[in-house]
Amino acid sequence: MKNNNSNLWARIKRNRFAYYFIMPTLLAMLFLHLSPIVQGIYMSFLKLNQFTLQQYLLAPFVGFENYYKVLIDVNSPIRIGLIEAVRNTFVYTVVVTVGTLAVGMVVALMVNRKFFGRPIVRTLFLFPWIVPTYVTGLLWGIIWLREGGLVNVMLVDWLKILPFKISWLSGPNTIWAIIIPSIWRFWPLSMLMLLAGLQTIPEELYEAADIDGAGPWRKFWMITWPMLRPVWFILILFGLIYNTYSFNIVIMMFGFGAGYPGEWGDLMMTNIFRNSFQLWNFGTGAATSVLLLIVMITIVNVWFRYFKKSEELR
Amino acid sequence: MNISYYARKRITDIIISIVMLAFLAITLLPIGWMVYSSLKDSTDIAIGKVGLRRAGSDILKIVPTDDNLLILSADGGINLYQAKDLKRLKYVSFKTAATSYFVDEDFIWIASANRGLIKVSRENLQQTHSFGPIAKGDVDLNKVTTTCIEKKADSLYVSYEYKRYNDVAVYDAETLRFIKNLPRAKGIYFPNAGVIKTEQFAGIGDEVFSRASHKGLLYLGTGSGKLYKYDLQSNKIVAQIRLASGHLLVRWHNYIDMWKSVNFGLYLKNSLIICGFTMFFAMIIATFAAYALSRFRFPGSDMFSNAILATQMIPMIMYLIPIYIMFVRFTAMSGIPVKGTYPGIILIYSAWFLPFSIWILRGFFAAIPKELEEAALIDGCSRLRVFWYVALPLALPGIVATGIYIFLQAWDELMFAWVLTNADTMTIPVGIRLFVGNYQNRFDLMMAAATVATIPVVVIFFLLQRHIVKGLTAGAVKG
Repeated sequence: MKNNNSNLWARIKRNRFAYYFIMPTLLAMLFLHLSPIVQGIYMSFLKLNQFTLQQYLLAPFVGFENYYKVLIDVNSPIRIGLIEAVRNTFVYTVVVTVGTLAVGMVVALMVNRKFFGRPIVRTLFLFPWIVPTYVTGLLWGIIWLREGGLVNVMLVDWLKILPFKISWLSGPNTIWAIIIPSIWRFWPLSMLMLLAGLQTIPEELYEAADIDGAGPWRKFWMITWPMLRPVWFILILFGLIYNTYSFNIVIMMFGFGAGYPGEWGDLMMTNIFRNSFQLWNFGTGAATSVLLLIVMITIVNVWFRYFKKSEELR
Repeated sequence: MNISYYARKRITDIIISIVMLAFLAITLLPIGWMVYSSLKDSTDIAIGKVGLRRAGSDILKIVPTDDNLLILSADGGINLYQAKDLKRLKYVSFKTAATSYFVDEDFIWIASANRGLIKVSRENLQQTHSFGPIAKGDVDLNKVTTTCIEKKADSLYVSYEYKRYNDVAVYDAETLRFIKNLPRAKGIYFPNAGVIKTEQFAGIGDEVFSRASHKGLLYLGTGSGKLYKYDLQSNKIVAQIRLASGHLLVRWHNYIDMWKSVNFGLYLKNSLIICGFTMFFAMIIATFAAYALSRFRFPGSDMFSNAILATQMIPMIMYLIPIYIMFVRFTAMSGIPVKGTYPGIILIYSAWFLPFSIWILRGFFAAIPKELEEAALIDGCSRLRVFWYVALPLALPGIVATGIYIFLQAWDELMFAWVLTNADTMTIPVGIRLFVGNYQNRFDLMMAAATVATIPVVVIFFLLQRHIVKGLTAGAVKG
């Protein structure tokens, strides 16, 4: 035991240089990451609103009341909005994650061929990803406009697919009005990653498959997709996290940063933000974000475990 | 059906290329629409007029003589027609807006909002003198709706209908030299200014803007640029023509107005300062930590790197609520303002982007061969010197690329900025919302501002594309 301790001390001493180097990061992490998170968890048990704001952590302790309001209380207005936000966030996250991966995969395969002007085409495909997300929100807010929006003009006036101009930014269409811009904004990143992965697949595998007489479809599912495994694992993981926490595009699209996305467009982040910084219910806001964090940790763990398990099966 | 394998492959290839280019076009369409919208009129965006508007060719003045007919239209077009068979002899367009004319025997004077005063010779329709835009300084050129021009003796009296609409400016008619302003003189010189008298004639669909008679013939000019020749004896329309439609109205001016309509320059400056300092601080701290993580396996290093990854999982709002309350509380206790100051937001941004920077930089340091540093150590260099003289220079391109990436991320950040900045320290994403709101609905200016906010990002990205892409994809491919 004593030996072990001195061993540890010796290792620490030997690596003291590394400790100096991580010291600033460690301090920043303690004061600006760990401390707010701990406080946030504690605040979810407090009755914290604009009246008790100045009392900070001494605000009245109410136990699980905030959680009760968010999860169980049927009469609480926060819960009504939250159920819709949860539903929208679920649909949004799944569709956007899968959509960006699918579009990115298709385009990555397209630009991985040899053709004239390949570098230029690849660069141009990255364009949507460079546009800031708040610009994406504003821009698509203009595109979805009922009278003047490009989509309605194209569908109704030019192609005559729809008989009349429909409203995209209210009603059930809203969910598509937020999903499509998000896919448009984020798929080039998937393409970039998958393309980098594609270039590591050895050509011999495809040649062998050619000799065995495999078609393109079979080659994709038997060679390309399994070989890209580490890439899409990361992409789905980060997609799940970032899309669940999506905020900028949605908040900027409705009323150009001032409006309420409505019951079919409200996401968790916009919901919590409105709760906290427009209705000044910090307690319930903190409670909701704690719940969201728990759900997120569960999802990430499940995904990691699934990945590890299937890795072992291989 | 005997298509060879290679021919079939070639055809498939071409089809895929076509599909790819079509998809590229669709992908770029929204960005094109943004830039295009920024050159349009705000109302056109709202009502869905896709094409650019053309300047209206309302016929403002008709000057008939024995042989010729001088037709002056609102888009600055000067048309010279033959009086007998209405054949066009000459056409000059000065592309003016809010035009008004004064004509005498030898010259035509044009007053306009965008081009100022122009003096044109009637003989060859060439410009002889001009005097830059009338509306200067505090006057928003886009808001000048009407100008009025009158000549008395050797002076030109010009008024423009905006803000100081009571003032009349006096110019020298010969050289267009500015003489003086006559405050509150409009009622005297232009009692009916701004009122276009329109009349309805039998058989003419549009409203008549101007009329002139000459030797038993009446010429009527309408709002849609049509000219009717009307015989007064027989009460019949003898002939009619239509003027060429006006020039396209590309509103480059939106890119000037956007800086005045809201204080966009301030927001741009704030964004540059905040993102610049964030990049600087985050990079300095992250470089040390990333080097330590990539070179040492010290007790706690696994926990440390796991903690860095775990921060990516925590919702931003979970930091924001306590940090906001901490800021408010801190200011209440100490009297030092934190919320709404540069240091406050820079501190939070640096901390927020730190884990991700470390994660990317670690990959760059890991790519440097260890042997180099080991050789230096054997030669008797201290660890600090090895870091400073061996590792740092080799990782510098990676550090720059990561820094730029963090800059772009901070440029794009909205939620923290919304809550933690005030009117003086607002960044672009917060300030750009003000174009559309309670007291104005300027979609055109908003799109112009969005374009301006996108340009630096695009430029920076394409300059450093290779490095950024390398840093981002390195981790994923290795697994």
